[in-house]
Amino acid sequence: MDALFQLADGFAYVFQWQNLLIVLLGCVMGTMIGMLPGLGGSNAIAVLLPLVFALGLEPAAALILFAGIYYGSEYGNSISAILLNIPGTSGAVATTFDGHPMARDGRAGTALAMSAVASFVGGTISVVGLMVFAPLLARWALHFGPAEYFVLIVFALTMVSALSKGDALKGLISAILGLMVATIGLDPNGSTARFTFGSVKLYDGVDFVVAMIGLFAIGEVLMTLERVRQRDQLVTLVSRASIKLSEIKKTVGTMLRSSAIGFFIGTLPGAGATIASFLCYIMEKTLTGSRGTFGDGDIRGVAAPESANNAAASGAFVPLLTLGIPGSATTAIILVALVGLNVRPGPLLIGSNPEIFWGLVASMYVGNLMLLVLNLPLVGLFVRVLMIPRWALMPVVVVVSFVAIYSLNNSSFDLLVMTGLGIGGYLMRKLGFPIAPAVLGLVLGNLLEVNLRQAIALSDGDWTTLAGSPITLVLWLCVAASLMSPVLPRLLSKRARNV
Amino acid sequence: MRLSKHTVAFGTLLLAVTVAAPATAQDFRPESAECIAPAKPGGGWDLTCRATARLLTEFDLIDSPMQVRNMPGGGGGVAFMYTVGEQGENDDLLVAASGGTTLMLARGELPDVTSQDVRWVGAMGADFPVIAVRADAPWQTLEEFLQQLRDDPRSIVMGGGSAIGGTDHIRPLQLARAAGIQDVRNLRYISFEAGTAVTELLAGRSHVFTAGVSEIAPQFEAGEVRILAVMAPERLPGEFSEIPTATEQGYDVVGPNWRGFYAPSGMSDEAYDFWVGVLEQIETSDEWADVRLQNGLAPLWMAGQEFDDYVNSEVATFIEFATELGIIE
Amino acid sequence: MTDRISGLFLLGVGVAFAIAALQLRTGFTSDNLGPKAFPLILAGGLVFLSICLLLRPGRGFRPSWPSRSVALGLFLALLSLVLYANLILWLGFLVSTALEVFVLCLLYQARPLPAAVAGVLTSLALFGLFDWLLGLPLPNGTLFAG
Repeated sequence: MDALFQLADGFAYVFQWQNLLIVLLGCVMGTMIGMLPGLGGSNAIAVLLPLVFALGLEPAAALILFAGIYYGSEYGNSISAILLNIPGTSGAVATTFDGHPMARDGRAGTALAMSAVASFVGGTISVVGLMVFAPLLARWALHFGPAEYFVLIVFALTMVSALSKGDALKGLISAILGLMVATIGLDPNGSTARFTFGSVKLYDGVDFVVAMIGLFAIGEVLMTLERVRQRDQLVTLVSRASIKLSEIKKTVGTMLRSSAIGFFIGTLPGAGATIASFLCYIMEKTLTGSRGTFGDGDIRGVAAPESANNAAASGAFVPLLTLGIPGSATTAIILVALVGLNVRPGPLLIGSNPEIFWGLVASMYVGNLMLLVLNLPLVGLFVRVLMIPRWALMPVVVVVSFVAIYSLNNSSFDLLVMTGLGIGGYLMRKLGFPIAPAVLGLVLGNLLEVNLRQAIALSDGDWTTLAGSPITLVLWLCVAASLMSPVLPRLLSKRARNV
Repeated sequence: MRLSKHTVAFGTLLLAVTVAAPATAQDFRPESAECIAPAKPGGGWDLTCRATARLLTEFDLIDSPMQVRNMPGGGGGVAFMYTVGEQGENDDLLVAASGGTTLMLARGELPDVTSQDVRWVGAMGADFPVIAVRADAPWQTLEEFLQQLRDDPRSIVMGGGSAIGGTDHIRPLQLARAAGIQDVRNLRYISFEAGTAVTELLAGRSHVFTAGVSEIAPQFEAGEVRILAVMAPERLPGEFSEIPTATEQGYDVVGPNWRGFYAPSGMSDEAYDFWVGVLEQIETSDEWADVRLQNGLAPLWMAGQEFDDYVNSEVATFIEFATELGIIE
Repeated sequence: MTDRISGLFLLGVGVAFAIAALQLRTGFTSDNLGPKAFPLILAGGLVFLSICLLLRPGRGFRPSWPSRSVALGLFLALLSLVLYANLILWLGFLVSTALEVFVLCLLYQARPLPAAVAGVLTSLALFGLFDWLLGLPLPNGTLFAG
């Protein structure tokens, strides 16, 4: 009950008009930055952080601005994912699967509105989860050791590979290629340089943003260039700039399930939002079966990842606020901001600084709400991006991503890596290998190896540790099921054909 | 033999702060000052750069604001190679660094460069490594813990945030060596992310936490962990003052993970003195005390030639230690 | 057929990756697996899967390759990107970006004048956004320095 009162206090603070104005400012800035390909998520926040400090706001107001920027940039990422097929963060990759086909269909407005609604639902449910379950979940997260993480990541990879569009075999190959690229750089546990060809510039490996922009943005440019030069008609229909109530109704179940699962996965420190958005997407696709048009513009394919990644983002607050351990890149920066305000998160935070905790929760929630209110009317404006002629839009997109990558790392080497991966991505598409498993492999490769090595080191060389707990056993069963699901029917039908 | 020399030198540095009082170099003002943070935005190096840049302007020590540039890669290696290779003469450039940078140089990860290829400007604070265990762990004192380490070295899993050969790994090994354990390569150390090292300790999968005190301060305050020793020259201030140092328990290992700056080797003496001077003005301010507090750093000030000597001797000490143990060739 | 060629190529990649991994120098480790194990597992996985692809290629899969003139366009676009990445430090952000957008617009079959206008406008707008508003410094170009 105490929690409820304190949350109410938090809301009372946030709802002062100057604070609402600050949230608004943050949402607008965040959305603008997040829309630029290559700038998104934690990068956008880090870039804006000095600005936040420069405004000289009082601590709580700074946090509010911060929440606004955060949600704004996440939404901005979805905009570029849906309109341009270029996700700004790994959490938005799954949004492209159906969001972009919808945009091509002339339903960009609907997809954008759906994304805002789903994010809002995900945010709402997870705030409730945060209030009720935070202390309990902190304990459950402790049961998740390196072995459990390892199997969870294997599960996410096999699931996405096996069930992605097209051939399961090619999906798995794609995932392994992504994992291989992720091994480039200094060995995470020592000082052995691996596959760096003697270049110090590759010591940190291939930056994930660089890889993603390469695979998606450069790939997309090559694909559209091809179509333009083949004189294919590139008709972009912009029909409706809103969403019908019936369409929202259709996705209620999807949003509720994805929010709950997203929140739970988000509480595990690590790549919560990415795993959550992929798993929820695949889960909804499987549940819908042949009744859906997943992959070709099913609105549930936007609702699932968008509510999941938002819920996971709040879930990541559980370890931050109860253990003082940031569970994601974004919460890491929030930790910096909190520390900048002389608040040190940890086991005592909820007890000793309840106003900060609940103020933060309230401002995250209001950031979510503001985004919904702000962006539903603006959807029509965003959609107009698609009315810019292709000959101008795509060159500008490439150059923006080049500049974003360059200015974040100050390295023109990254631009070459990006172009190289773009060629790789183009060839993969042409040869029928799905890109998404490779991206997931790239994002999770390091975590997968690190957790494997930690697990084996903890057991002092005993591999059975990987199946040594109830959680790992359940997860292995899931892995087996995801591997068998596409293969079994095909094997059976093949046998039937051969006979 | 180098070890004792460095311990003495370090002690003097801490106590005799005034020795290095630099000349106020009126004849040099940077035109376009720049600070390179060799990591992504948000980390320790980035904060060191940004806080310094902010205070330089606030105190009116430079004419136009210092630009902060992020150059992540190779644990600081990319920025080091860039500074040595392309910025040899730049008078306006500082690069953020820490104790981990010296270990990286000592391990010889970067081709053809050494710690002497740059000028070390100053250290403005430090995080000190600890030996922390869970509150319900069997060991009450450092001695009890080291005794089990002697008796059954493979029974204890140590966890820290740095990679193998980094500070969190090397300091406990030095401690074990001081405790008379000969084959320290037989000890088990697992490299986690800094935050994960804390959760693994709390979950009981690892037994000892060996990273900096700032990482585990919240759990210490909450009474969830016990800190057996801090590897600092004297007890830390405030709430940490109840933690005994390793030295006072009879094991003379001191390992500050300092935060500070280096500059290109070709930087002129005027410019070098100017930077040492302004850094000292910042370091002694109340604002910097806040920055230290926010980052969980203890006070530490070393600068100028003395700091340069300290870093180079640290590297030599480490190379000697590591070669003896067979960590590096 | 295409799948068989991909399979063969990937088999080669897997073997090469394994050979490269075996040659890694292992330093001091108190880590049970060391730096080689994970890459070797991946290489093993790729070899296995590419053999599967060789033995059981997808039926009826035919990639649509671009015609020669279209491929030339793609090649020119990539070439311009590589040149852009290399020239940005020398020519500076403003000039190189204007040129790059101009070239790409032409490849997208824009007329020269609109392409040039787009180039100049994009370059100026981005410079304002990144350098002034966001405080992310962009290169001025060594060609014009001093």
